[in-house]
Amino acid sequence: MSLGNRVGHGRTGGLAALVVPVLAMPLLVGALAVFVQAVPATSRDVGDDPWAVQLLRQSAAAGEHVSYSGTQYVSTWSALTQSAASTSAVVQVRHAAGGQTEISLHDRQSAILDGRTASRWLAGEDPADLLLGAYTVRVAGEDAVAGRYTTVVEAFRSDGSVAARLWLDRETALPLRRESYTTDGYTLSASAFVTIAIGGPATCCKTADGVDPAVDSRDDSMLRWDDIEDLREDGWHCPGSLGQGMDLYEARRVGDAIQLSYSDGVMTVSVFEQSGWLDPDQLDGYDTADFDEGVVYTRPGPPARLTWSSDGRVITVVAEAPLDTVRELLEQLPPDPVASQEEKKDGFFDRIGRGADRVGSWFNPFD
Amino acid sequence: MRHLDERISDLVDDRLEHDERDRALVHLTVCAHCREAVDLERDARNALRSLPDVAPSEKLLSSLLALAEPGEPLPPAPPSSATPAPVAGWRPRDSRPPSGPSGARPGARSARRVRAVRVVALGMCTTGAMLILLASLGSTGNSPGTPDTPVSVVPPLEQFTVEHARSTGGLPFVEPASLLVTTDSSTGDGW
Repeated sequence: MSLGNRVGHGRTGGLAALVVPVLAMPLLVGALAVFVQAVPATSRDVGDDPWAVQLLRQSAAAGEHVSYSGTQYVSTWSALTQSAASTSAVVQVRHAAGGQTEISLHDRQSAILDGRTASRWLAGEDPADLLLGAYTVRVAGEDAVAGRYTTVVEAFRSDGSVAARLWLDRETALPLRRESYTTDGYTLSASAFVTIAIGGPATCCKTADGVDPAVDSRDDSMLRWDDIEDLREDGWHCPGSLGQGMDLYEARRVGDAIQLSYSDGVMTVSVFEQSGWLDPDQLDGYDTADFDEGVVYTRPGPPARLTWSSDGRVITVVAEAPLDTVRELLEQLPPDPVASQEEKKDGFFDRIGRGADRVGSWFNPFD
Repeated sequence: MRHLDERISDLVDDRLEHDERDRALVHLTVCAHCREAVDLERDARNALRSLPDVAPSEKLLSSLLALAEPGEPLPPAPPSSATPAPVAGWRPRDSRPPSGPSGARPGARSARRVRAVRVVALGMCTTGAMLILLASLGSTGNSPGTPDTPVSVVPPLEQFTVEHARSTGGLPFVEPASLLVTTDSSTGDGW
């Protein structure tokens, strides 16, 4: 586990800024693990706990009316390697009620996350529905996070394994700490506020004139279900679900690619579809893995990233989820056999064929 | 039965077809009139053949040669609406020696061979140019990336990772973990 590998580039400019987060994170993780009593996974499968459902719905809506800022540690592990490889960092979080969230890394690098209201939500009315539809939830106990009282809610898979634990603030229902796990109990991601201040400025992430260009540019690229149906008729795959509760909740165009975002409320997978085929000669820094008769090119991450050619499309996956979900996608869109990929080389006769098609299209009045 | 009449000359000159000749000979066996006419025809033919060669006079030769010299300008062409002159629906039989390995002249055969080589070379050049043109049109470098056109793709992984992180912004219970691997290009303008 390589803690703070982002910190190690000396961007903060001070030794203390380098050392403190690196030492603080394992201490925080260990301390929180000691104070929270885990509930055995085999003790459940009796349906949703109504209290837990209510808390989760409140928590999903909390960002709409609560502003906050604080310091948060975030750790993530690769779903591909399941080794000690991980990425961790301490980030500054600032959120405006009903607006966006800015996450800054060491006061230098920042990213702005849009709220749900900035996207064309495709998965029902409430983001909590994703989690409640995929998992069984129950209240597991109480705990303290960043000096605030929280209620611990657990999400169980159908096999009884814990998929996620959420520490929800009693006062605001904000999730102050989150952890997600694979089916075998392997930690996939973890985050927790070290400090948090509720309230604050009513605006966040706005430019001087109050217009956020990021939102405007995203609106045009967002796709609705009608657009997705049209894409499917044009040969794009656009699966509505990846199985295991991973449902499509957002789709949009990114350049010449179609981005399809899936989640079960805890895990996330983004699938990018591009027209064409993958040229292995132009792929540097990838590992390879055989799947059936084809090849998948991977970067372990985190997050895990996979790409392969399938039936005239290049599929790229960015996954913060167990590999089972990616396997189902691979079964839906299997990689082309290696021989088929070799045939797709850009040979002279291939070019002649494409050129003849183009000339034919010039004279085709219906093209 | 009808008499041979005008076919007598053809019979004597041996220009009848095989069946026609047989029928004529059968007729001669029963028709004394036609036998007599055939005998007369043969006698006349033999008499003509027995005549000595006659040398043409100088005057006749000079008159014939004068016909070959250039004469007066040609009369104006008839109007296009004029009815074309009737032409025979047949042409004279080709009396030239048969062409072939033994009959063709060496010069003519060489010229035809050169012409054939030129035609083949021109065809090959035209075909090659067409193929090169089609290949250039079909190259991936200058062809538009229509959905039906297979093109080589290198996924922009870093950009996709940033977009993935942004897409998770609306999810309340998801870690913003993928932000940790984003590059400086993901830096927002902020507030």
